[in-house]
Amino acid sequence: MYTNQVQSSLCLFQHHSSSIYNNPTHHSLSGSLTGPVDQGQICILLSLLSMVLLKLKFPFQKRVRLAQGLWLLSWVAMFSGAITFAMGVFLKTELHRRSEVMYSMDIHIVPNLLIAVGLASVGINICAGKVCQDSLDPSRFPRWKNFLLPYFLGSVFFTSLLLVATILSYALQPSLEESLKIGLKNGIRFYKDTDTPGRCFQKETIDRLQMEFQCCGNTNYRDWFEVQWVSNRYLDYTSKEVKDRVRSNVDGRYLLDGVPFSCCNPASPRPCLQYSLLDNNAHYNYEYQSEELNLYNRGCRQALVSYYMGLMNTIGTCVLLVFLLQFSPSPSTQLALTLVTLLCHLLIISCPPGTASLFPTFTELDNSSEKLLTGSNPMGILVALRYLQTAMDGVLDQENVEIETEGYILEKGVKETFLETKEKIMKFLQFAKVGGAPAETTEGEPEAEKPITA
Amino acid sequence: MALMKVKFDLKKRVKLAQMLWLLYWFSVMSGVLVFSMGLFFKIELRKRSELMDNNESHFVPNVLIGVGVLACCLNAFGGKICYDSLDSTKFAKWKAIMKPFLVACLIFNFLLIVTAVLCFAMRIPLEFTLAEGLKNGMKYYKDTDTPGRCYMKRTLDLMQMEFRCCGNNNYKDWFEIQWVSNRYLDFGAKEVKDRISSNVDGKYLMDGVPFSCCNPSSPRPCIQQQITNNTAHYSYDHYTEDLNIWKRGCRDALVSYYGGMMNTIGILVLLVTILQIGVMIGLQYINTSLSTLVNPEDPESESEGWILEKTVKETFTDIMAKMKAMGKGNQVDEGTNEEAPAAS
Repeated sequence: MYTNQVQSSLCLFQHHSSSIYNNPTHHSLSGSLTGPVDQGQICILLSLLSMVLLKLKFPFQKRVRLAQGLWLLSWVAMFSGAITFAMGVFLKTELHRRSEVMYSMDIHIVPNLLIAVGLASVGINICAGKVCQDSLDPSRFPRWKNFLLPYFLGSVFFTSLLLVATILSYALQPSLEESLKIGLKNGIRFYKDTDTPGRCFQKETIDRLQMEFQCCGNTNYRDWFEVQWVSNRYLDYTSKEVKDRVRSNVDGRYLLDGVPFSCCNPASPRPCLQYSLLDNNAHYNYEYQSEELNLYNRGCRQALVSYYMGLMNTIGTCVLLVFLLQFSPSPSTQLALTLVTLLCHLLIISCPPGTASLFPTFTELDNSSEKLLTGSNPMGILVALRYLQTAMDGVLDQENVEIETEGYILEKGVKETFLETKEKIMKFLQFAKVGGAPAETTEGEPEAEKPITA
Repeated sequence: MALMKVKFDLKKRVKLAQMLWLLYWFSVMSGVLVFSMGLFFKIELRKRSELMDNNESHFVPNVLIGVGVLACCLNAFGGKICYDSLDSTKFAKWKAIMKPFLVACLIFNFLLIVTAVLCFAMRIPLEFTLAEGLKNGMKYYKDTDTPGRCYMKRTLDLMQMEFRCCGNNNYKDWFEIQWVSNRYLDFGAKEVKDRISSNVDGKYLMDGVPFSCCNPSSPRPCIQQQITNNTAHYSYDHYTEDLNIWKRGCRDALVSYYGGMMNTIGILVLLVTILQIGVMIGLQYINTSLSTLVNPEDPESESEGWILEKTVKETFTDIMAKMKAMGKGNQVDEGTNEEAPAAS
């Protein structure tokens, strides 16, 4: 049963390579496993279960392959981090462009998180790549010994930050809506103040916003009826019409049932009607209750909210997909990663022979990338890095670099490791307590001694 | 006496081949770029084909697309030749094709130069097409109920808003046509009857413009109607008012937009031509350096490379002589044919 498990788990690594490694010492481990694809999927499932115990033998060639595969994977991960960063920057610029109609900046936390995660991911994966490069040289590897735990913690932390960002982008929608409501209300109120410093571009901003997003007013076009949007400079206060309108309301504002030109819908068959919108007699063949195409029906608040939510949904989906790709060992990920390595392989072999010197670190990359494809490693970066680290640990104090070593994920079983960790934590806590206790015991001791001596 | 002779040893040949291989890949990408620019230009022309009376000539973008594809193929082929040139066994099979290939490259370079000139020259016919198309477009602005023209209003409005222009030459073009449809005119009203009887054709003309002519940067709400009537609006003088509506004519705006695009594409094609000439010269050096090995068996021997075997003048006279010989050859054939029947 155990050998069956081990065998089926090993098919992950030795899937097509039993022909390449005709090495008698490996014969007991390799078995005859060139079965069909579904056997491979079962392999992966079983291997997930037994991986915790699994110790794999790593000869020198395999270590090299593992390191190279890992180097490529870390480049892919770095690329995904760069994508996250770019999307964060894009979202931030889009939010900034319309900052004049937004009252609060709460929503900016989403792009800020994306930018931070992207940068950190790029940094961490560059380090991981450097570790892989150095791992083939035992003299340089020791300084990276303690890299794995920080890398693991960092990755978990940044992935959780991404999840937080996604959740926030949904949770902050009411806040965004409220902020836009206040911002647009102010914008419409200050539309006429083109001579007041600080507000002179409000008119242009609102006009361009309405034209670009095909919307009118805050909730709908009637918001313009409640505000004086014609400046007093252009009102003839001697005319009867103006005087009537100004007197008709408490605040003495010039209100009219008209909208600015930017509310006009170009798709309307009729030349735009802007003024006397509620008066059916003012225009020939016009009925405002049934007229739909004359002005834009949508309110700008709704238009902007749906635009930004759509943007954040798209970005969130893309980024999460890209990140999950690194860590999940599913068959589809295997395919995706194989495609990526195939692409790199094509790029590498299409160089003429003389340009191999352009790739200084791996002079064998040409041949080994072929082997990489045939035994493609589908596991995530973390697992592979763990194997590499433990395999390299075995080489560290030896003189002969090309010996075979063992690699594992956990040195002992899951339960044992858990118990050990628990013990360590308890000891640490006790030590913290004990650090306070000796002060008491030293006081207690002289007291205990005193009665004895006394 | 050869033109620009250079001595080559193995290292120099290898370096030349590698550099040329890289340059060929750049050229392939530049071919793709030319192709995509041609495609982009074609799409832009199609987008506004209504304003050009559906009469615009797609000759230049089609030429660009063809040239781009041809450049990709030629350069990929050239790259393969470079790759093989380092291996003498592989290169042997290309030896025979080299000379025709180089001649093809030369002809292609001429074609590229012609394309670049075409790009710069297309501005003139475009201007005429646009003038015609815009005039007709404005005439059909009101016909939103006529099939085939119902979207002209929307197209014109969107274009005026996007390019920040008004009318054909300027905004006064709107005063000369009726842009309000009869469906929305109350022929019982006195004002309408006055306007219609004021001109020969019975058109409803007014000194107003559509809303799409309005400039959002104006400090004042847009004045669209009665533009030339100073008393109709408070504190308004249409001679000094320049922010109210767009001042530029749409023909100017569109011509400068397309003209700018074509200038950029033309400059790009010229740069691609220079690159192509460079790789062609490089390939000629490779060809000549590999065919003049001092010791044909030893790949590490020295060789010489040049652009032309003799000087330009001598090469030219050679070509003329060959062409004359070909012409004479035809005549001699005819002469022998005449003699043979005469003899028999």
